[in-house]
Amino acid sequence: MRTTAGRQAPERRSKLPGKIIEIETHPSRCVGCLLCQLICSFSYEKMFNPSKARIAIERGDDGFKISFTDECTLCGRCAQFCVYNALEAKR
Amino acid sequence: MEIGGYAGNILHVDLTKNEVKKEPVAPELAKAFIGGLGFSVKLAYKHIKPGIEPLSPENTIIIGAGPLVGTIAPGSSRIYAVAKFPINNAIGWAGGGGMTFGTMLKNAGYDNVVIKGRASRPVYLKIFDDDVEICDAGELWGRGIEETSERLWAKFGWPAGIIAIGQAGENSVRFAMSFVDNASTLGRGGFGAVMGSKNLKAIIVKGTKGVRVSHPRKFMKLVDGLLQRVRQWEHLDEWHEFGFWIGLPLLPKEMFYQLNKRRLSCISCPIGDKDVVEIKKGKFKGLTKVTTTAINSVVPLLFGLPLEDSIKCITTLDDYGMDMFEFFSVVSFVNELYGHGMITGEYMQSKIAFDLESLEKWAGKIANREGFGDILAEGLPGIIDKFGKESQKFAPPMSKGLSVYSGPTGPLLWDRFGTMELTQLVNPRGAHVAAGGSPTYYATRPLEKFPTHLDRMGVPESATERILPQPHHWQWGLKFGLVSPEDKAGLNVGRLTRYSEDWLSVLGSLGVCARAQINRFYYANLLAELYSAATGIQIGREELMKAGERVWNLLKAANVREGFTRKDDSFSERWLEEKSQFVEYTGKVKISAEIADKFLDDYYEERGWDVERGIPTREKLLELGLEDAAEEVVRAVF
Repeated sequence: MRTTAGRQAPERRSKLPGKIIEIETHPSRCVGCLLCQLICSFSYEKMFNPSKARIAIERGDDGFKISFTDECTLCGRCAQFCVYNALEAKR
Repeated sequence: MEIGGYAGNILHVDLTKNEVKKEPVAPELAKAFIGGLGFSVKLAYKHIKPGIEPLSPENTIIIGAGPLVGTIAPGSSRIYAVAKFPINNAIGWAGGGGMTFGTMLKNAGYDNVVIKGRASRPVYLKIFDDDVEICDAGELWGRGIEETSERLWAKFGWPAGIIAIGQAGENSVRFAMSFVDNASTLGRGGFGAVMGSKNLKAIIVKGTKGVRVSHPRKFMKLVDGLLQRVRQWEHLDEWHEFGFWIGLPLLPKEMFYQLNKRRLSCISCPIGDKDVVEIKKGKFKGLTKVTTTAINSVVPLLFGLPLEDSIKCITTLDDYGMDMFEFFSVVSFVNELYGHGMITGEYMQSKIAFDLESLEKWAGKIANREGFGDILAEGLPGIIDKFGKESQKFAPPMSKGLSVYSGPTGPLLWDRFGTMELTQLVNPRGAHVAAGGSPTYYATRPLEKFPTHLDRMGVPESATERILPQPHHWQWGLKFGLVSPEDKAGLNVGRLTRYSEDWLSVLGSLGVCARAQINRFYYANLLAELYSAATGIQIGREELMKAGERVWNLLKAANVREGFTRKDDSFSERWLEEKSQFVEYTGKVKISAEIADKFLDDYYEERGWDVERGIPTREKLLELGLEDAAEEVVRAVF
């Protein structure tokens, strides 16, 4: 688990222009809507299933913590769906 | 049933027999009742036998999450529960933003849970996929809602969804609520007391099965379009910053910063209008509280409490799990009775003071049914029973045993008579505003904006003409100077309320939020398309709205079976007194008893019901395919 996703991903699926090199996180803006987990699981598992997402949202004492699993491909869909600007795709 | 959107199963739990079993959802149920609220009403009609005692093991709790819950459709995480309410014996619905509960229920593989019986000891129900267990809750019993929820999360982890009760529910306070994920409220008519009567402290649910949709490409195209419109909304940033607070312009924004800690969201919601508030100074500095809206935390300001005490007071009431409007109503009522000499020193030595210490003390006495608190715990009807018919004239305006809370007498201060006000009377569950969601939610919205909104809510064109004032209604008056243009009275709130309820019924059955700030992005055609893409069951706008109407009619039929008729929908005399000064939505005409009665006539007529009795006709129920209900309503009334 990492707090930012920023490595050479084995598989890149982004349809957006430019390579994503990092997903920057701003946990203080996260409100726990889990839109990121819903779109992530849908993109890779063909179902909406937070437990299968490659981005993890954890509830802490003072807000949410954001991290990524090793399977994250930096496709950027989570950042695309984050309405609260808690995730930002860096190109 | 393997249809997209649905989990496909109903979970049945018998707490007396300590048994659980799964029942597949019948496919024919899907299109007719949609899911969520619709399934819950349908199951309640079957499982809650007429005439049973609400706090007996025979009462049944049904909780449901609609076919869009668990998907990425924006703001679709709402859950709906139905049970017989102990405050008024109504078959009542209760809706709450399932922060994570609804999504987790669907992921665990269930659309609905049906709970009956009574456990022999305090228990909580654990639903983790196929692992369903009735667990000992001895350690949790006697604890508040926040501590109960936090202990369960500490043991099982977030994002497990939790519905919990506090001490008020445990002790059958008739206006006890349950809380969803320590944030959303469920059932001011005593849903929490029903859980308590079953010795059911909490339900915790977690799932890993996922929710699939039948036509993923089409579904995502619709969702993308929706989210794009949300992102383009000119007020989005403001809502993200202030949440529901900006929905009530009379609240100063500066005050929000005095209590705001951070914002929270239900799963899938792009508006995120739940709050964490914090006391920032004084004796309770550092106390934080999750709330369905920060606005709730400032309601006691109306009674003269300072801000910090106000937050602390609501924190206490929420933790006990009791409805704040009813709490303030019963306290005000007994004070008034005391003032009129109808309550003597045997029960109260002085009026209950509206300060933090006194209010917290009485909240505790009610939640634990200590001393005179035991009588207050019976709610307004129980107090009237105790002190006789004479006491009724001093009761706050009420409908079906619950205080009406949106109106000129507050606490939600509002002087225009819209659908939110009328539905507090005609709603089968008793006074509650959510089913009155319509353009009249905004007290000053110009009539010119109504046609678009009515179309969005699935109102047929023919009805729009009956709802909106037509030029010929006031042309004559204008010509002779009897009315000014701003006096254009005549919005037919009675007829509009029917469609507001059907709109809630559709949203609730699908699982889309009842709050206007999110459902403003939805319209009837789009909902029909989303349902079709999610489930693969083709449905059109008219058919979907018909399903909403069917659900509401069945809910009403369940209540006719319990003996409710037009007399139970009537206006409280106190609500029409001079001091209440209700005015027509679009004009300056004061609402009189005659106008009020006309609204009721129009409401029943628009529903196609028996106007005199205020109940569904046999023909209407048959038209909606509700044959059993048609026979039972006839039997109950004639």
